[in-house]
Amino acid sequence: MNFAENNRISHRQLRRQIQLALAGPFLLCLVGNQGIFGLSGLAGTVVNLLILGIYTIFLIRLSDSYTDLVKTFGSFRGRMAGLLYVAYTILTASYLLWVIGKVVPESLLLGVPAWMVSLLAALVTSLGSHMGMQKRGRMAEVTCGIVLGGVLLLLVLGAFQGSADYLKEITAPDAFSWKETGRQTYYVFAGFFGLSLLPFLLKDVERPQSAGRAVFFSIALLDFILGAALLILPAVFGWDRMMAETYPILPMLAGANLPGDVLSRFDVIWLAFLLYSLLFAVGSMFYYGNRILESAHLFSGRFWMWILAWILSLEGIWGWNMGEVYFPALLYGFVPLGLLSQVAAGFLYKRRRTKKREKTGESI
Amino acid sequence: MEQKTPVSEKIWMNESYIRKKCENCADIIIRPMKLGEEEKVSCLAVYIEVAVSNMMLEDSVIGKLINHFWEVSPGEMKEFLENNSLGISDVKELATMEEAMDAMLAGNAVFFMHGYDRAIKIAGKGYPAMPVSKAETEKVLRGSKEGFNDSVKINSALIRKRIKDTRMKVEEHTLGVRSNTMVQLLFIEDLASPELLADIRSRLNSFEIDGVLDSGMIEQLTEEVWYSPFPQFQTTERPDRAAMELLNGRVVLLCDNSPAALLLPTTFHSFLQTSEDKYNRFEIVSFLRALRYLAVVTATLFPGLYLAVIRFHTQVLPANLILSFAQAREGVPFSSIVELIFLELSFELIREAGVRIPGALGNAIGIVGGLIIGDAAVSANLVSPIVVMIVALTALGSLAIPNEEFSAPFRLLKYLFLFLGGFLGIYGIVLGIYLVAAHLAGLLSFHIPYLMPFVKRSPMSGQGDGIFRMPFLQMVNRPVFARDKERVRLKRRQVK
Repeated sequence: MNFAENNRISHRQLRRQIQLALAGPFLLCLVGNQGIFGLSGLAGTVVNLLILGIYTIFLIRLSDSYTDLVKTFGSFRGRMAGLLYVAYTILTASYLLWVIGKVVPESLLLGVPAWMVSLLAALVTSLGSHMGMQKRGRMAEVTCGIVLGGVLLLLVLGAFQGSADYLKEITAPDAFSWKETGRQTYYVFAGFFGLSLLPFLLKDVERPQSAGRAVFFSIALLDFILGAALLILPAVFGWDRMMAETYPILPMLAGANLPGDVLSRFDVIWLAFLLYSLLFAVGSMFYYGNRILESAHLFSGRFWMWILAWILSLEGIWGWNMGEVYFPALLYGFVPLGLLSQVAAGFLYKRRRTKKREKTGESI
Repeated sequence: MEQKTPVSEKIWMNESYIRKKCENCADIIIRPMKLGEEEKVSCLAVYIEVAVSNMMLEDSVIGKLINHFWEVSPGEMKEFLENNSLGISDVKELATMEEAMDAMLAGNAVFFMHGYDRAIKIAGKGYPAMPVSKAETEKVLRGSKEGFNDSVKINSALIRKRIKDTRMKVEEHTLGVRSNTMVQLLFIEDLASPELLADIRSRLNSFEIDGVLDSGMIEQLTEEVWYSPFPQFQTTERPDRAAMELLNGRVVLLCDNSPAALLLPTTFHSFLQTSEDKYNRFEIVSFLRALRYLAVVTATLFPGLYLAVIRFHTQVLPANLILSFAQAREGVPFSSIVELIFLELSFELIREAGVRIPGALGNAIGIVGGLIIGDAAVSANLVSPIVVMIVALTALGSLAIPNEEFSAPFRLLKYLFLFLGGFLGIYGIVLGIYLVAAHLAGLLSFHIPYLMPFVKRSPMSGQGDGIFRMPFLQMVNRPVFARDKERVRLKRRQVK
């Protein structure tokens, strides 16, 4: 009875949640001409290993202050900070639903309307999204190995299609610049901004203060996958073709072959793995959105959050679509504001603790 | 609290109480008699006709008692009863008439004597029950062939035969206000978790029902998630399996009139293990376990995947194969979904008919039905041969799952995946897998995650008993069910 009673997840479950929730979205949405590419992208992922390592330590130190936002920030500021993160989770879920609604009808289900595809995804991922952290942990623990194993295997299969000549194009003059490296480093960091939800969930993790290693291992693995994709894609398609594709990762396995001729194409299976990861990411956003609302003493998001995310993901009714809005909102809104709020939270928490110590006469 | 009626010294009062309670119960024998050497003493024996041996037979306990009482004085009779001088093993004094009635209804004889304010319960042969026979639903090639029968006492004795240790406790409970069904809780005192035992006891006391006729009713009354198609209690008909699980720290629940013992707590993985897994070598066991997991996937996903591929993702298969599929479907007027549902339902009908029809005829129905319906349906262009193959492989998958109750949810889920794959292709299959994974991740059986041992392994728990089993000598620890202090199951001795 030593595992279910304390309602806490293990480091392995934390690690696998991060890996499963980020692998699919990263490969699909971050790699390509709209995100990161070439040597600049590779440099960005390597630099981020260091930045995110430090950021993780910072986030772990913040975890106590995020247990109850209202206590740390005060009633109004706490709720505002909560709403900022809730807006991030809803917009991210909405963006991922938009991606699903775009990719599935184009690559898997011709003729099925995008709204139906994203509605089903929102509905399925919202089911049980209010339930305990352990459930999500167990789900990730059991399925992450299969999904990541599949992703890595298919990346290897994809690599066999590559050609050395194409790969050389990665060293072309337009494939690297310092400015581009800076921009793409920030892109990768913004992609990993989901980690900013870490302080909200650490109270449900065993030995939270030593969770840094698990998080860092996840970052390293995801960086490795991103780096591998950045190398394999130009090797398979050539630089120009890769830059012309919106989601270059999708057709990567169109020409792959396996000995025995059992299957002639793998792209459907490849997409299935990515879709599972995307669905898990959407589910995570709903779950953590609910948790943040709870922490900010706000209303429950159980019934409306997924509907709002789905409505926002619909194309053609707002005059804009999530694909256009999300990245600017993330890069220029959520990331800077989130970082500011985290720094402020750190200061406020420290001040509160100092005051408390002064009151109780405890020596520092 | 209900008022109890004490056993009276006046035998006529006891007799009138019993006659009133047992009015129009032709199967209950109320036999007054005069016993004792000179001064005859009124006595009364009450029993269920079939459950107790002929009273006059020398070899029956009650027969011996009555024969002895012919030759002794009334004073000696009382002393004899008080001291249990006959040395009868299962004799118990009962203070109230309610206890006496319960003992009689449980299949014992109850004996009253004038001037003695206690009733004596004397065990009879008990209710008629089938003899110990082979376990029909859990056949093995290696290991004991014994199976449980309908009598709870015999079943617990079959387990005791395997664990001759007083640390194995047998706790009796009575469930059902009208059926008064005896339920036994078996556990090894120092292995089973006290929290688990407390939880089971509290769940057994959490309901009041008129009758409990099988362990399946207890299962449904005490399970945690009522809407889950997955069984949250494991059943076994094999005493060796039950004994093995007791040694793992699990608790066994036996119900009278049920040949199925419940094993608690339960996990997904435990359903895919058989008792043979411990008797055979690790290589073949690991292979067979992997095959069973493959069977689960086949039984659930195969029809859905087939539909997804031929309706939406034909590019996945080699051109030759997809052409032969198309050729095979030539002339079939229905859509592939209708075709598959038709054949799947036909197979379910054959299976159900095969189970209900007795003996050899049942087997014949299965084979003949399968062959004739399959062949005739193909000849009549109702279905294509490839669909017959898909259904057959799916059925094989579901039959290869060792536990019938555990294969049932996959038989149901197959239809969900069939529709999802048929209408949404691989996207639908992924949605379905997500749903099932989320559901299974949320299931607990008595605080143990259903997906153990694939989640949150503690370093002490029984590793090496997952899909792949380690060599027996290296399986040192008990699974996670056992108490932490008693995790070690195997110690090697230093032999000089």
